[in-house]
Amino acid sequence: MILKNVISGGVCLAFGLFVYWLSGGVSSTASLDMLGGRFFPRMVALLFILSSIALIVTALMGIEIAGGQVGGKKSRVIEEPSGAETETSEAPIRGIPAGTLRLLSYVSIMAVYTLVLPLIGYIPASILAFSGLIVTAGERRPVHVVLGAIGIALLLYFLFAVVFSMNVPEASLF
Amino acid sequence: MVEMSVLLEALLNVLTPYSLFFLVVGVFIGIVAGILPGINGAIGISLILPFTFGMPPATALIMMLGLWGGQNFGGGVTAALVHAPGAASGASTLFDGYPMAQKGQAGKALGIICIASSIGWFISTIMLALIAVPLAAFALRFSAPEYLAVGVFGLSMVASMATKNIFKGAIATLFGLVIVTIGTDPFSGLPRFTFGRYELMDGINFLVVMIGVFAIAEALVQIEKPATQAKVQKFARQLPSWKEVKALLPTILRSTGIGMLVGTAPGAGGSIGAFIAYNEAKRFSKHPEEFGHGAQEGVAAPEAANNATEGGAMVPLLALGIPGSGAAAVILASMIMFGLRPGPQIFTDQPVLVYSLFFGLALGAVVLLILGLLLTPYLALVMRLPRAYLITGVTGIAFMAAMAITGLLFDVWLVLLFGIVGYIMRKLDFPPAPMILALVLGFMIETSLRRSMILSDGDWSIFFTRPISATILGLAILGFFYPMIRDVIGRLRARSA
Repeated sequence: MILKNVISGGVCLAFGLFVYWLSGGVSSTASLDMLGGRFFPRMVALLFILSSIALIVTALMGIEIAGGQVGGKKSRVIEEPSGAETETSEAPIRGIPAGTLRLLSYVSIMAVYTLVLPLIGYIPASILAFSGLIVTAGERRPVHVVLGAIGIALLLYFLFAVVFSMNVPEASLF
Repeated sequence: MVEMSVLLEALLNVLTPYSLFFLVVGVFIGIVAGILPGINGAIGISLILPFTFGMPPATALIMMLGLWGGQNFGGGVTAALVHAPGAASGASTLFDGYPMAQKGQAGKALGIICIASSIGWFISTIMLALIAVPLAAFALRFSAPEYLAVGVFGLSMVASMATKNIFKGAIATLFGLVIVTIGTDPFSGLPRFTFGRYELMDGINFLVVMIGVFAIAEALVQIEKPATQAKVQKFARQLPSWKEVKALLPTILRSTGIGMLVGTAPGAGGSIGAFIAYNEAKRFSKHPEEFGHGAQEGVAAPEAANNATEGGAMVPLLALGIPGSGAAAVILASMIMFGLRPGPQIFTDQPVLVYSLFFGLALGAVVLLILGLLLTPYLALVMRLPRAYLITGVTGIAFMAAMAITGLLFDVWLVLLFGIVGYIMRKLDFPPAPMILALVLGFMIETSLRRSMILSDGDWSIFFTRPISATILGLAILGFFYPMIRDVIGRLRARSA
C-alpha cells in the first residue's frame, strides 16, 4: 500500500464530491445551449471522482502507473549527485523540524504582509516583510538583513512604480 | 505564400534598437534564471510578465522567448560547474559536462553548451517556420468539434506524459478545469462558484495561479531546505577549437532534430528531448566508452536538443493554440493577455507578429551565442548569490506581479493560496504543468463542447463522425491509456516469465 497516495486520493475524492454537490446550484439549461452551465463542472467533478478512486485503488494495490514518455522508454532518473552541495544538518526546534518552521514562518510573514499592505503602504510593509523573510531564510547579520530588505523593496518599487508606472498599495492608516 | 512586405515589416520590427535591447535583456535574464537552481522557464517568464505590460506585444513576446532559450543554456552551465542542473532540461548535461569541468575543461564545456544551444535553437526556429505555417493553414478547417478534440488531446498527452503517476496527472488536469469553471458562465452570463465575491466574477486569472504554483511554491520548497553552499568547479577559460566544433556538428544536428520532434509533443519537455538525444549520441558515437567521463558529444547532444524543444513547442502553440509545456503555457497566457489568440487565425490576422516572433527567435539564438561566449567566465558568479536574498527577491517580484495583473489585493491572497497548493502538489508528486495547461485550455474546451452541441442539435456523434476530430480524439484516448496498457502488458509478461 502507498499510504501517501491513499490519503491524497481520499482528499481529492472529497474535493470531487464537494465540486459535484456545489455544481447542483448552477443553472442547468438555456433555450439553445442544451448542456447549460452545470454540465461541464459536473462532468469534470465526475472525472475527478473517478480519477481519485483509481488513485486510491492502485495505491491500495501498491502500484503506481508511470506516465508514458516519448520513444516508449523510461528516461533515466537522475540521482542527486553526492557532494554537489554541502548541507548543514539541522536539529528540530521543540520537536518540530526546522524546515517546517521556516515554511510556516514564510507563509505567516506573507499573510501578514498582505494584510498590512493597504494599511501601511508598499515600502514600509515590504521592508518589514522582506527583513522577516531574509532572517527566515538563514541570514543572521542585522546590517545585511536591513540593507537587503531595503534594497529589494526599493529596487522593486523603482522598477514597478517608477519605471513601469504601476499603482502600488498606499498607506490608508496615515 | 507570405508577402515580402510582411516579412520585411516583421524583420524591421525585430531589428529596432528597442526590440533588440529587450531581446538581449530576455536572453540575459534567462541565462541567470537557468543558472539559479529552481528557477525554470515558466517561473522566469511569469516573473518578467508585469514588466512587459507597456510593451508592444511582439517585443514582449520576443523578450519572453529569449528568456526561455537563455534559461535552457543556463541550466547546462550549472550542470557542468556544480554537478546539479539549474533547470531540469540541463539534467543530462551533467553526465559529461561535470567530468569535463573536473578535468580543467570548464571553459570548453561551457563553450560547447553555448554553441550547441545556439545551433539547436536557430535550426529549430527555421523548422518551426516550415512546419507551423502549413499546419496552421490545415487547421483553418477546424470548427468547434475539432477545437474540442485538439484541447482534449493536449490535456490527455500532458496528463499522461509529464507525470510519475497518470492518475495524479489526471487529477491535476481536472483541478485546473475546476478552477476554469469559476466565474461567469460564458454562455448564460450567470455566476458560477463565485460565492458572492465580485473579485471572482471574471474568474481566476491563470497568471495569478501560475505565479503561485511556480514561483511561490518554489520559494516554499527552497526555504524548507537547510542552508546550502554550492561547490563550484574552478573555471578554465579555454574555449573549444573550430576543429572540435566541426566534429560535433553531426551530433548537434541530429540532436536538434530529436529535440524539435520531442518538443512538438505536448507534455514532452526539454529534459526528455535531452535524454533521448544523449542516448542517441552515445549510440552513434565511435567512442561510447567515453560517455560519462567527459565526452564532448555528451555535452553537445542534450544542449542542442533541449534548446530545439523550444522551437518544437512553438509549433502547436502558434498553429493550434495548444501549449506543450509550462513555459509554453505562460507564453500562451501572455499572448491572451495582449489580446492575441494563438491558433490558425493568428497567421492570417497577425502575420507580421508571427513572423516577428520567428525572426526574434532566430536572432535570439545569435544573441545567446554572443552573450554566452562573452559571459562564460563570469557565469559561475551567479551561483554565489546568497539564497536568502534570492528567495526574498523572487517572493517580492511574485507578489508585485500579482498586484500588477489585476490591481486587486484579492489576487495577492490567491497567489499565496496557490503557492501553498503548488507546494503541496509538489510534495505529493502531483505535477503542476497539466493543471496550468488545463487552466489555459479549459475555456476553449468548454466553449467548443457547448458550441458543438448547439451545432449538432444535441447529437454527441458530431465528435466521431467528423474525421479530424474523431482521429484526434482517438489519439487522445490512446495517448492517455497507453501507459496503463503498457503497465498491464508488462505485468502479464513478468507473470508468465
